[in-house]
Amino acid sequence: MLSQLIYVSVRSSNCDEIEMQKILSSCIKNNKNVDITGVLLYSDTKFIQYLEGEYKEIMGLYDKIKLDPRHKNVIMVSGGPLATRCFPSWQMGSKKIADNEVNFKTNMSDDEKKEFAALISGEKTSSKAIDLIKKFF
Amino acid sequence: MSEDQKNKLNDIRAVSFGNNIGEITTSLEIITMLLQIDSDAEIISACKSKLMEGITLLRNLGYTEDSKKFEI
Repeated sequence: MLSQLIYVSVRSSNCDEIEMQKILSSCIKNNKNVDITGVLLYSDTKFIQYLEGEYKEIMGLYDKIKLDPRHKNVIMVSGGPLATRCFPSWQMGSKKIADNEVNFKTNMSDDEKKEFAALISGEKTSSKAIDLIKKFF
Repeated sequence: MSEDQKNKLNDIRAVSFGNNIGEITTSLEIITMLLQIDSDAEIISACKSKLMEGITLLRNLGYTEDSKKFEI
């Protein structure tokens, strides 16, 4: 079943820019093999990643991420079935963003912030909410 | 509670703060965010419990001012 999963995690203090490049490279290489797509937003201190693919594959990847020492305190914030992929051609789009953007102090309107919060709380998986993630790109 | 909510609950309960001040405060920021956006009673309770644990740790490590940012 096609599914989506969003998690947040702490970027370990030993995860420097060289390690980040390794993560991004392995995402692109490995996700293609298991048909996982999505986006990775990261700051100096946090990760937020949106994954989409077959349930078994994204849960397998999530379990690996939880064991990766470059991540700490990985927490699933949303998961569930997905009708169609939102990022069908992205093995893993990525962007470094400022910490305050991870805290939603973006240029989003109040309504958009509510929509985004609903998305990551799992209340909604609407394409409108996904469009808000796309605002980071 | 759905399977996904159970996973979230387990992840929150498994949070380990360690002793790196940066990682402690970032973990607390994430928990605070989850607390603000989730309406499930068990998730809220788990978040509050972890928040207290982290705040206490910060105080014990001497970061009293930092701990105040996370007080509800």
